[in-house]
Amino acid sequence: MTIHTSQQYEAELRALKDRLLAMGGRCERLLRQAISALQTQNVELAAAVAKTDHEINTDEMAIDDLAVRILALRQPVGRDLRFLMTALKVVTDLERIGDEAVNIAERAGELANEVKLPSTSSRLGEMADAAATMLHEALDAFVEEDPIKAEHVLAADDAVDALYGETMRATFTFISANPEKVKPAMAVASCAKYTERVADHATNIAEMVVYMVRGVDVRHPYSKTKA
Amino acid sequence: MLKSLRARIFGAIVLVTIAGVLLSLFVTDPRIIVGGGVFALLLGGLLAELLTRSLTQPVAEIARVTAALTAGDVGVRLRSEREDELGELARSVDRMADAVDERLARMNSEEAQLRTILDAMVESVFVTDREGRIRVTNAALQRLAGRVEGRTAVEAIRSPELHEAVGGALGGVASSVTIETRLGVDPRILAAHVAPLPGRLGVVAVLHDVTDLKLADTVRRDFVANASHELRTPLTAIRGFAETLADGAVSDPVLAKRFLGRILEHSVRLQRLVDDLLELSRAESPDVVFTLEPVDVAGAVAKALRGLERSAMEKKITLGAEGLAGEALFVEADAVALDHVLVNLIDNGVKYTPDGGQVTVRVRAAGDEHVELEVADTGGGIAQSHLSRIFERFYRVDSGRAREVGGTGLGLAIVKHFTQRMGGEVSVESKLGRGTTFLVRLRRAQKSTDAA
Repeated sequence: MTIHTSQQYEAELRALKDRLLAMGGRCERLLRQAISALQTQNVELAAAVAKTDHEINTDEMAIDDLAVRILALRQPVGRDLRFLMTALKVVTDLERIGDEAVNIAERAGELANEVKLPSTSSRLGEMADAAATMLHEALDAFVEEDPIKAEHVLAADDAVDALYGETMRATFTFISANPEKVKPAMAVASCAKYTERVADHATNIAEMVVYMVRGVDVRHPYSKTKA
Repeated sequence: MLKSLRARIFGAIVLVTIAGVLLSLFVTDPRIIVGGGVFALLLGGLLAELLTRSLTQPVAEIARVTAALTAGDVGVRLRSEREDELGELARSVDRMADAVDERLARMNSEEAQLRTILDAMVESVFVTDREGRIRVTNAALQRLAGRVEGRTAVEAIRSPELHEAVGGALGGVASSVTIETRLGVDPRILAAHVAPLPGRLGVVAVLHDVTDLKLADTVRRDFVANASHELRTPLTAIRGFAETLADGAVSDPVLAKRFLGRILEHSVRLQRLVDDLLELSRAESPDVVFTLEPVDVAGAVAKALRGLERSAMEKKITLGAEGLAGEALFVEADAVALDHVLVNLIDNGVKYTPDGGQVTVRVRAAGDEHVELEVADTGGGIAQSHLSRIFERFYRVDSGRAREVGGTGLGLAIVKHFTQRMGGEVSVESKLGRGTTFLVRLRRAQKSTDAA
């Protein structure tokens, strides 16, 4: 391989990584905006979030294209191959995060007409903050190829799960006390579920960073495949 | 060079040997001829060696010095005293070294200057190479994003807008974008200008942190919206009652009396709001001069307490004062502003403390420099999440309750601004269910006899 093509190859890998990070930044912001639209009952912001989703879909397709091109033309091995496999999976998780944000925005649009948000929404902001931070850190770990940071993200997922459990318990209590408010309460509970899924996707990304750097699969520790 | 001189040694011996042969034409004694030949040979060798040395040595010296210069040892010089061409060459090498030295020093100082300018900038700056990797940063960027040399822009600051702007600039198109990002925990809003370097060598980006500006803008917009809302509410009520009266209710003495009462009530509220707004703008306006002079704390506290005795009595709240008895304390204050601060805080205490509670003012010296004034109540307290915001204009912990007790939402904002204008500071501590304590810290003044 000549120096020229190897430089080009490096540039392609970098372009892929950068595009992935830009997409991650978009997802993070979308999630925060969706929750903020919900909390402030802001219809315009909720509609804007639903619209930005197409940018994330464009990102996904562009990244898939880049990755397939590199795989086909360069036939990478070792670390580069792991990087590309990781990128292809990360992009799927990011796209799902975008979808979850749009789901939250749709519920926010419905909830905007309520006079008062159900009290069960009190921990949503905290949850979204934690999930967005996890996503940010997972991508930090990806940039810095830092498996320790990635493991930190894995640990943070428990906090989001706990907040989700708390919100669900509060929802049951709230609905028994206010049966006429089932609809808004369920909308809030759905948003909690969406946010919890965002945290799960962030966890996936972190797991793949560990795989990319160490070549070790840390997913599903109790169901190893036999070689 | 040395090699070719060595080759010439052989040539010199041959020349001298030929000279010996020529000599032999005139001398017939074979011993002399042979001896002379041998002598000439030795002499020739010796001469050649001496000649060669005198040539090779300075050249080797020049080679050594130029090598040292190349290696970065800019202090070495030849200082040759020879008169010939080699001496001239050596001096010219010295002059070249001087010029390089000087240019290097100038470049270093220029670079240091540039560095200082970059680092002194409030704006964050980075420069990338043609591949988009960050090569140069300044101190502001390092504070914002840490050490990011060698990374791409989007790796350093996770913003899709910045990524696109840098991509555009690498393609030769400058642009300005606003980026929202989170570095650490705080959300930051940055105005970024990204431009290509001449010759497409890379990109230069200048990022200006406009978070505080945007925040101030939001606060101002909120204030205008809030103030209009607050003013409109009593105005609407007054107009509604007046219209009902005009529509005929005026002839019903019972209704007329009740409506007039409500109109009066709302105009009082409107009046209070306008007064507070004026007070606040006075506190914030740099044109309003505060005359700071020694004020007797005990006197000020007693005056404020006297003014609120009636409203406290109505709620059966005990007003108390501690620390007034001892040595007289003086603070540097504007007497009117200090009265406002105390009245607002004590009035708040009375308003938000349930019947039968207590509001206590404590005064104490905090060293020689400061005096602390504490206003503590036994009310319901304020939740931690509200504490940091209660000094904001129109911020209300419980808006329904605040209006019920006749608050304008401006009292604490006025307290904060007045205290700051007097060079002091105000803080708050609260425990839910236990009460709230406001602490005003003012500069202590020595009682000046000349002012009296």
